[in-house]
Amino acid sequence: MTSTTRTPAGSRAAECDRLVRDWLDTDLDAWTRRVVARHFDPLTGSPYWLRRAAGLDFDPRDLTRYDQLTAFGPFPVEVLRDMDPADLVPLAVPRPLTGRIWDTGGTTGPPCRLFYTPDMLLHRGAWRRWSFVSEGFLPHRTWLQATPTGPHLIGNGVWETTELFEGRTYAIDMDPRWVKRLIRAGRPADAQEYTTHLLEQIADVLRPGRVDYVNTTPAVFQALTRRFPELVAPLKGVRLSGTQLSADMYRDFTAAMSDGVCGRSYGNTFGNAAGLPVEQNAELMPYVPNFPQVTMTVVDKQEWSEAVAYGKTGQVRLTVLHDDLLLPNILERDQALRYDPKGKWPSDGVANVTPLQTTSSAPEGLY
Amino acid sequence: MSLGFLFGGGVGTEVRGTEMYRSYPVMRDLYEQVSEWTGLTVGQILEEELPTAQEERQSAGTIRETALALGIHDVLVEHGLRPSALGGLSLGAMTASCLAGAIGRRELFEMLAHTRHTPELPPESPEQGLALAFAPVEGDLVAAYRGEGRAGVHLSGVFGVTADGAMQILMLSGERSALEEVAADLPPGTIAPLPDRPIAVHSPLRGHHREFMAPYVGAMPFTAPELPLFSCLEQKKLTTAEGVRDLFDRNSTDAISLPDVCAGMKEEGVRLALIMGGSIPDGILRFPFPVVHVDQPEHVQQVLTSAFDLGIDLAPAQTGR
Repeated sequence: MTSTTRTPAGSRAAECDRLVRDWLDTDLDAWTRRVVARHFDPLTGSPYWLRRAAGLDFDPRDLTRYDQLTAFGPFPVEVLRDMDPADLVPLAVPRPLTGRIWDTGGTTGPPCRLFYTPDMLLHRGAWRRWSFVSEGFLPHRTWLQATPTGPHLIGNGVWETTELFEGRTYAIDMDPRWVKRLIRAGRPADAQEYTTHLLEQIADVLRPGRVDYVNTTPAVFQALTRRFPELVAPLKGVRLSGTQLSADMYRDFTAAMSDGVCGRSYGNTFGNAAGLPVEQNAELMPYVPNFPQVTMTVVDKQEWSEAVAYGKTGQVRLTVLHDDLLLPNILERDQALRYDPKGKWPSDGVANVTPLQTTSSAPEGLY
Repeated sequence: MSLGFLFGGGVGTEVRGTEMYRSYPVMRDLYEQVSEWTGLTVGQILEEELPTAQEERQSAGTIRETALALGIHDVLVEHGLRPSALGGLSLGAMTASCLAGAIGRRELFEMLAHTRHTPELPPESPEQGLALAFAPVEGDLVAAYRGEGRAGVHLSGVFGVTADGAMQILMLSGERSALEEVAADLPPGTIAPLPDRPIAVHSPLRGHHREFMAPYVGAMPFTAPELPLFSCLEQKKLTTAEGVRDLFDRNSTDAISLPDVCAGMKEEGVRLALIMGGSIPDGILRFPFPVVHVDQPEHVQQVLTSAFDLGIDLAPAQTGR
């Protein structure tokens, strides 16, 4: 199961659908025990976690419940900047490892790097396919992928829309690190010029009218909607991720496409969450994680181990429980409302995600 | 798609802005200037303990909050971020008026300094206080907080709907004992007294302050705002010098409304609002546009990124005199 294996598309689709059904039926505590046992197996565990185990005051294999994963503390993501990504992959995966290393972050410092095994790529792809179907995208359509590629996992979306969703896909490349560098350097005009460069490439692909769906960031799609509304209007849908999405933008996008689907996801190379239908005229935009390998909750900004009440705002805490990658308690640089899926999902969701703000959040400060 | 600047009200109990002050020369220059205008030292404006006498403390606190808000504004302008619309609550409404060009900075700070001469109430006057009230979103506002008709309790502010849309937050001002009675009569958590706020702001109980300041405000050289400016006393765009003077005059006794300010800014095309100085807490309220709080140096980069991501027009605009 690799991204380069040629398999009849229909059978991949069926395989993805079956996997998602099984994952949604998974008991999270049992899954936690399985993944922890695999990573801490003295002979076939992952080198990083076996090293960490020596310094822990508990035996991780004694953990029986998902909520006990807080015992590991917040995951120190900075180690992912220098460590060999192979050290996080259990030795049960045959060495030498062959496959891709992907980045996350990198716009404000050195990126974190992770090795994705074929199963992990399929997991991500299967959930993307689930999102496409549930949001109303149709197979056998033509896509334009206008996202970062290269080290960015979102670029693997070309494989997801073609191999797993039976589509044809155009692609253009973009470099978010360059844009952020220009912004940080106080060069908004140069950042704008780079955006124009992207928009012209996108317009060139869209102009003949062969593209049904665009996969890009809200920032780029907003710029496209303003610069080339005539090319956005006939689109049948857009799939958005990667930058902040406001309620106004969502409403603008749906209005700009005469008959278009507006799909959304939230996440990064660590893990992702699929958009559920918006509520309250898009004032509430919820997401649910790619369960059980990815789970999220929203925690108090001052006390990372405490989830806030449903509907309250806090910091997003992500836990990754792949067979081949264990990353408990990643404190994301995002904040969100804790979303109660009310039985529609086996775990917490998040909603209205925005960049993390470190400032007062006590109601007493209102006056 | 424009950028709004939003200023909160009240005088905070925490010292904020010291990192901004130390990071940006433009802010230090402003504090020097404010010190000359007000007679306070830079240390008093920035972080030292406020005076204990009530009106003097309130005056120094408002100078501190306003200096911080204007200083942050100046830092943002240095980074190419200028407001296309302005609004604020209470003290923040006066700061917004200044940045809209309706009153000079010196005149604003001198007015704030003058408020310290407000006569203290007689010692036998009932102790005053403030409280937040959490009410259902639906239904009659007055019935929801059940304060109307209670002697000594006034609805002094509407902050709007909470982030999850479940409740709305109101402010009650009044006699402390009456507020405590309301709190005791309602289910726990409905009323949250603010113990460090001893002044019943935005209520008739501040009538003596309004009366004292009226001649001073009447003589202030207001001009028509040069930028869109939204009142917190009613849903209204202020376009004349007299409109701004009226805001300053009534500000101490009339109830404030954040939803009114935000509705005006929204109508003006605001798609991102910057909240200055941490004066409105993060994550509590629902706004009709994304907001970014700015009270620390790292927030400046965050603002620049958000503005770019949200497609905000960063066109040059006039700023406060």
